[in-house]
Amino acid sequence: MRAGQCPSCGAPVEFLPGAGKVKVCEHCSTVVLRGAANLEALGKVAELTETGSPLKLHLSGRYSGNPFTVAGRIQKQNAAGTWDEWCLAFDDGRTGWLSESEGEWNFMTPLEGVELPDVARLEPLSGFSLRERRFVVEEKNRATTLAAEGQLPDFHREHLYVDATGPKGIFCSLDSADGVTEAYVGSRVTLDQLGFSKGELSPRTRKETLTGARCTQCNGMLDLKAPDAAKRVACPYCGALLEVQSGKLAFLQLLEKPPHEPAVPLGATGTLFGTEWTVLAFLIRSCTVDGNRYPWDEYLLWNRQAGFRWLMCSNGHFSFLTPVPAGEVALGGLDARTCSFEGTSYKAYQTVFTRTDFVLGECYWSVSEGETARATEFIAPPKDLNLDLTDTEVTFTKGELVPPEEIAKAFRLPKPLDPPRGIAPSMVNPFLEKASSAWSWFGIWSAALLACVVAFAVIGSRAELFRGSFSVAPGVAPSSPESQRFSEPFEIPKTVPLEVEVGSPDLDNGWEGVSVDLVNMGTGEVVEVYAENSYYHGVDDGESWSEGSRSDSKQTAEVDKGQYVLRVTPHFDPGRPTDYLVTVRADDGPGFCCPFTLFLFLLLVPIFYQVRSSGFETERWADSVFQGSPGGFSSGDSDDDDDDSDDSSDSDD
Amino acid sequence: MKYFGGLLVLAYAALHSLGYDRFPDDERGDVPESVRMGPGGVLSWHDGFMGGK
Repeated sequence: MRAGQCPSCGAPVEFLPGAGKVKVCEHCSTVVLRGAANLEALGKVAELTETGSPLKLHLSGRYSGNPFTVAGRIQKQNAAGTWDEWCLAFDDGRTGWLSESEGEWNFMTPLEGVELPDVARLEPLSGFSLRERRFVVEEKNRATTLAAEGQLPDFHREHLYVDATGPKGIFCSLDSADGVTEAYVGSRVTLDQLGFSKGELSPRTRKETLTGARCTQCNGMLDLKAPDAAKRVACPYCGALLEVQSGKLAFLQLLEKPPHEPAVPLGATGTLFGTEWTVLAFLIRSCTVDGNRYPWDEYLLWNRQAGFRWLMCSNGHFSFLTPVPAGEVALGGLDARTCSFEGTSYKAYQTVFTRTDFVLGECYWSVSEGETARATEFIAPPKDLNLDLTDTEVTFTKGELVPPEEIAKAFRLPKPLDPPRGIAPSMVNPFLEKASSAWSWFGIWSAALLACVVAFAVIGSRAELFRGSFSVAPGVAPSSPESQRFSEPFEIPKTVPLEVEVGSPDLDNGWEGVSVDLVNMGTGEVVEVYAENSYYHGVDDGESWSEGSRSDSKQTAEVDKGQYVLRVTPHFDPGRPTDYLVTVRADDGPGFCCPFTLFLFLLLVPIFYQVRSSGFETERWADSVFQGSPGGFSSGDSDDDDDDSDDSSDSDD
Repeated sequence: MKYFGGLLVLAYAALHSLGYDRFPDDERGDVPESVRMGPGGVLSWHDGFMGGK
């Protein structure tokens, strides 16, 4: 049946081919179902609320080369607000849906012939797969159809829906009503991509009246910057929280005024990351850990083309937060201590239960004082990734620290912002890079030092210049002139440091010292060293032991070349002299003490930075906390779950 | 560290070349002129230094 009369008012109802079996009567707003033989009334819908959408019925467009017509529109509502969904009837018989969310357009088509998950069991952050694509639930909620127009594939007064995102910008919506679940998959589009003629699009006029709106309580001028997007407005003068309904403001509740003024005033505009942002709202949120309240400031920023961003200020550290699709974050479950995003691995820093304490300005969601969320912060300095989870929704934002001076400059603040206090979780460890660099250079210069030592060892001389054995006559007193001996003259061919070694091979449980005087025969200069050997051994409790040595060597500074004699004087226990051996060698090799000392000096720098780096990390992680419940306290070991997979958690899989 | 380490290595090379890269145990002095010029020369020197003892 292609045409008939409305069962309610009798007006003619005509169904276009391929555009669905439900049509809303243009005269009485009755929803008419096309049956096999007759038309059936499914009840009436309310009048459409003026949402200011640029779309309208019967507009023509083209998507991926396929022409379509805007065949129908349904207007839905949940606790957060009202929105439109537009039904597109393609010329080839397919159907698509177009919806607007926070200023961005999503185009979806039905996905058929796949096994769908049980929507009732899905929760925000849980995952599911469709045609080998992984999706993560961002929102689960219930929607009511308020109004409709045109021709639609079907009609449900109320349905449960799940919005999920996947990788590479795709998303999925699961709608469940009357025991039937339908899946829609699509991606973000622009109206230009859909081939609408700009001349046919309606200008957005919905809330222009709100640009000059006044507070319903104190009559203060609100000067709304984004009236199209605002869902709630908190009056900066009297603290009244107002709801935006059909282009009008309605009083909801009186909010407590924030304890301090926003550091960046509402309405201020500033350019950050190449985009000009307007400050729409100021919120103070907090968490309570172990009985202590920790507040921080949040600023809602808005740009007509780019949408919404957040600027968070905690202890004077500003972080610019950009929303990211949950489907692009690989998180191994709600309590996972690691996650990855865009190829970067993040480590959980804290999980707290947050509360919105104060609100000023205009918000794009139905903000309320006291709303709570579970927030987890993951860090990979200088980046951070934040997860905010409520009963119905999960949002991920990636953060980037912005110096306060840059904020003050961007928003042209009259006075500088307070300097940051302490260490921000995602702050770059300034000593880590220095330590890493220092270790690298330590390796390079240690190798260079070793190369020098080897080179000096190769080119240095260890030639033996003198070797002689001396004996002590019986009955001679130690250290006496009678005990002294002179060597034969010997030649030191070049100026060189010397090593003088004294050996006492027959020493046994005793000691013997030898004063060795090198006398330059030409100049009369004396270079003298004293070497002492002591060697003891025995058996105690059946175990043999020994200590000391039968030889000792001493080094001299450079000795001039020339002819020398040795004068040696032995010292010993009276009556116990032994023969001894004196060896003189050239010793201009690298030595040990000097290069080793320099090696230790080299080591000091990387160790210094390593210690500072460790101290920085200790201070950073000292504030890490993992709450199990609101107000609770549990300090977690962030390495607990390092084996988390890169898959999203899903008990339903 | 880049320059500090290079400086240390250069310093070591310089110290080694100048012979200052060791910690010598010797003491220095002279044989008295009277002994050197006397009969027997330095071989008749039996007092004075005694090897630091």
